Amino acid sequence: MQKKTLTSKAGTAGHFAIDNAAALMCVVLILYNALFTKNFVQINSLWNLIAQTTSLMFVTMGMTLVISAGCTDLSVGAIMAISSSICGEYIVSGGNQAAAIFLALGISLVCGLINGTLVARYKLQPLVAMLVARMVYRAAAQIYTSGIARNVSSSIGAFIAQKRLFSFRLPVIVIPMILVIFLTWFIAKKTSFGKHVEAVGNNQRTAYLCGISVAGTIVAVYLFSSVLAGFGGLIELFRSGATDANTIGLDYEMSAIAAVTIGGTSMRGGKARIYGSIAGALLMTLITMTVNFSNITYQMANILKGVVIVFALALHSIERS
Amino acid sequence: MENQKTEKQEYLLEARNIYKSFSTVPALTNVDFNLRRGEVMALMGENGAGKSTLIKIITGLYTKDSGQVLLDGKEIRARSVLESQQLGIQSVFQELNLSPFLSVAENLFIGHEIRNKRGLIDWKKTNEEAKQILAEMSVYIDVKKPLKDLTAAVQQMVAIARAVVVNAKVLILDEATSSLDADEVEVLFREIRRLKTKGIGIIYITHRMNEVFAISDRITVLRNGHLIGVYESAAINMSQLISSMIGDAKGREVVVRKKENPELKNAPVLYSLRNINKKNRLYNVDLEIKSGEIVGLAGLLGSGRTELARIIFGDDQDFTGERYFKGERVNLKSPAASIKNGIAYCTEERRSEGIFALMGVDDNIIMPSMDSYVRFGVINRKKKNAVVKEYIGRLAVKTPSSSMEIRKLSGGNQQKALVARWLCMDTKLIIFDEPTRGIDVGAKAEIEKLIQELAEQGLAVLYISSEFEELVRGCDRVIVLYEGHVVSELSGMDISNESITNAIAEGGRTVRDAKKLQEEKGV
Amino acid sequence: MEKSSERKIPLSEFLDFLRGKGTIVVLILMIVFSSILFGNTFLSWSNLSNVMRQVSWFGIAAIGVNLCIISGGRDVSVGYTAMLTGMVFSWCITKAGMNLWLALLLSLCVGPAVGLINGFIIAKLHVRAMIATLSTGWIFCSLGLIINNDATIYIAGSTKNIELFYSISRSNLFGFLPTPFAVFLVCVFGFWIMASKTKLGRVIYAIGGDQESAAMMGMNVKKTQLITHLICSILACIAGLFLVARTGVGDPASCSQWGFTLMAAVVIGGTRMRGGLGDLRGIIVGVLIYGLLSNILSMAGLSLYWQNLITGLVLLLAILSQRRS
Repeated sequence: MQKKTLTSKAGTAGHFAIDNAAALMCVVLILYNALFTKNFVQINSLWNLIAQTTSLMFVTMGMTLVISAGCTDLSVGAIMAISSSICGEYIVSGGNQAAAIFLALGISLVCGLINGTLVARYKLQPLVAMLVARMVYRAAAQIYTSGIARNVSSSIGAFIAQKRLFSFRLPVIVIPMILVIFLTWFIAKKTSFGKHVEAVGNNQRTAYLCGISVAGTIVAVYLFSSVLAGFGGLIELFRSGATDANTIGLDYEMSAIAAVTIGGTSMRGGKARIYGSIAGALLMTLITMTVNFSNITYQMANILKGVVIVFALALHSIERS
Repeated sequence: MENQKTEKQEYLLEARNIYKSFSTVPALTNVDFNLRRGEVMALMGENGAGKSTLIKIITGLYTKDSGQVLLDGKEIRARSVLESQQLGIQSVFQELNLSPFLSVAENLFIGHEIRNKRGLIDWKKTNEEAKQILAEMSVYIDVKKPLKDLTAAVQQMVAIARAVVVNAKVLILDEATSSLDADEVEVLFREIRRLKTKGIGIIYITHRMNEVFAISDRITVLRNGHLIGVYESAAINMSQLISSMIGDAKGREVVVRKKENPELKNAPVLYSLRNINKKNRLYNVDLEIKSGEIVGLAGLLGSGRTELARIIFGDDQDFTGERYFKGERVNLKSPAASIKNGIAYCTEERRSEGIFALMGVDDNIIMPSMDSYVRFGVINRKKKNAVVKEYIGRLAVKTPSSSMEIRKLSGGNQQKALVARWLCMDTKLIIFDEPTRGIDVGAKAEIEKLIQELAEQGLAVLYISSEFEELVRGCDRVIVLYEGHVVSELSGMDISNESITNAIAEGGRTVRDAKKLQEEKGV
Repeated sequence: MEKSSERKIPLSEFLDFLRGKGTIVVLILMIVFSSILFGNTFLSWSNLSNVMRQVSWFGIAAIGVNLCIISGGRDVSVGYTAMLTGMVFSWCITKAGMNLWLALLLSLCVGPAVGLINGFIIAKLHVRAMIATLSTGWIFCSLGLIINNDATIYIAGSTKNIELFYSISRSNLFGFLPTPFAVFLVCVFGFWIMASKTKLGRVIYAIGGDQESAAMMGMNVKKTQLITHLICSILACIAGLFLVARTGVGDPASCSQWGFTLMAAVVIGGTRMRGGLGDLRGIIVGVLIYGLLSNILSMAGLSLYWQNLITGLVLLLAILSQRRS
């Protein structure tokens, strides 16, 4: 026993680095910006960082649960497009704002139900099924809006996206973000459903033999992910004040996967690491911000994020073997 | 010239002084092994004796810590299966390692393709040669068929044929017969004898004792990583071999019959099966289990033990027959339904069906009974921790903390945690499928003791084990299966190692006779 | 052995049929259907040869994807590889003012480079092919966008060399057969020979059927995976050049759906999604069905969005029809 602790001591530092890769990278980027970016060290920069992360955070939280169940949801970006388009068009056509929001979220749930059914009932490989879903949903949103961007003004939206509270100018948008983080953490760690999700991600066969409804669990995580993606789409809609089925939510699934994997949740499932995912989502926004501040083309941010995914996946596979 | 050469190197394959350890636990301690040309050497030993470690070292899957492996007198250092194959060491395993979608002919020749002048594969010639090679083995099939469409036996023959095609010097057959029936085994033996005449050395590993004496020339016995002895097959009998494999009573409990429990006679039947049939697996099986009773299921691999357990647990719906629980007919559609009724199944495949590797010991324990700690979907941690703590203590699961990832525990402790999983709920019937497999001796004894205690507390236990001694020690009743037929039911003082073995042998004969009779009738 | 008495609902029987020779029937039905619907607009040789021309670069890339899928892998980065090649080529010609041959040489390096990166990540780092190529595809896409700040590059001028280059995609053989389609057919035939009559080809099938047993039979799984991805990326690179030769522009928005639509064509062509089974010649049918579908949809006046939607549903149907096997 003693021998083991001695030998593993060298590995502990490495393990700490791997376990907290996302947070460490965040620290590095914040330090970099603090040194090289003018006016970065301000309370407002912090709020900006968090406010910009909100929609991605919603999607990332959903993705964390999906991935910990051993699946993947590539359709979140497209669902964001659908929910923002539906809500926006409904408001533009003079509908009630609250009804518009509920309608958008309802349609998002339907998408989630389809995703879950394809994976759980028809046993398609999640990545392939979601690749199909991503294309179909995005196309549906584009058909619905005829691919035309439209300005949307909404009082609820303005309140959520632009309003600042208190003397330290807390953006209202931070509140739902904190709520959804807490909710996801609570579901993943405190409820029986969260345990079922991890169990299914560990081993579907074992989960079945333990009396867990595997299909039900998978459908439920897809529903969770899609409704959060729906929220994410609404936030993007309110922040930009316009619907655009072509660009809203584009590449969000990739950013979310990057955030989740670098946060330490393995693509093979089995364990949800909420803290890691939070750090991962912040890291994604930090990468975008840093690239913007440094006056490099924004595409560089996507390249960096892509590298982050590959790096994270390689780390996971090395750790396993 | 050639004669001289063979004399000079007495052994085709030789392993000298092999030492191998896994994280300081020795798996092989200074083991010597040798194989002559044209000889069948059986490699025997219980689970964990070191057979597969030795084979994996010879085939290059593992690297040895020290020692030498010599082929034709020259030292070899294979670092991968590929390298050992290039040297002429081929293996055929129980689980097939051929490509399922490729044709039979292709499976024989891939890696050694027959090419035409242009350097492309000559399919016509390939198919012809494949047909010829298989015909030599008296296997007449369409070689263009994909491999997956053939029976297990034919696939096994193809695997052996492939080894011959690639010019094997040494052929390792690792449990190659476990999916074959008696006639098929006979065909295989004929082929082995033919290969012997070609000068190929064969290492034969099996759990079927009869086969060892039928085919092998010499027997090497390993136990706990040590070489126990090398015997001429003709000069040793079965009981000598078994005692050599198992060892003397030292460190082992002497087989003591369990005391008979008179109360059982009047106890009501808890679970019963009537007339269970499953295609090609089970035939007219009846079974009764009473509360407080330990019923053993004995039989060789493939006798239908696990299949029966899965039907009882509701994991398999593909059968006909009736199931009764507490006197009422039940239709258990899924494990979930069984668990609700208090039926538990402790699986044989601990890794692939038992543990949630990445989850803590506590979560692994409470997974099926989670509902009882849950209110509005939220887990009551206090209640959960109390139960987990209690059962970790009761079953003496050695773990640094209750939230430790279960994959980091030893096999025995994993098994105890899995038993705890089913005990911490209101279980009335528990099925143990090979509960002591792959765990160390101390833990084995603990598990056996635990099972006794469970029965004393009034649980019904169905106990499946291929170590008959365990059944003799523990069971009130033993049901003997042979190829899906119940061939005998032993109880009380009638249960003994010999009686079980005899029942299987006898059953084998009756079942075979019955089959023949049926065939004759059919003709 | 008696046949197992599986109960089958009509739908699954229909899907079984589709899985067998059904695709050719579907192709013929599509031709008949659109001939009736659109008459000579559809049946004119100019339209048909246009369809053929358009599917040919798509088809060349599909061959590589097919090999990847047969080997049990995936490559969804092909579209971006093709796009990146086109961007590099048009940048070399227009922005850097290189001559044709240097530009060709440089842009032909994109394929092997991409293939090595993908192959390394998948074979050596043991990352699953789908997620690996999804990520690298994202990277290549961004690289392609960076080259000209998201904008299209129009290849300026028309020197003799450039015209020569254009002719590989724009000319006809024997006056009627589009050259790129002929190239596509030759490629299919060549790779079919490779897949069915060489060791490499058979090993690709073997590791797709069961990777572990292939390794136990002494095949080099990693090397084969690497080579398969290399072939796939090189073919995508060539496809990208054919596309540029046709359009005369390097468009960063082109081919963005390929990763997905190519998979559709391959699956429709009869390749098993999980690997190990498939006939490369099936790709001709798969690609033609895809090409005709877009043709019909655009003749029916439907937008690109509808085409995406319908292609998605068609792929879903194709995958679902394979589920039973």
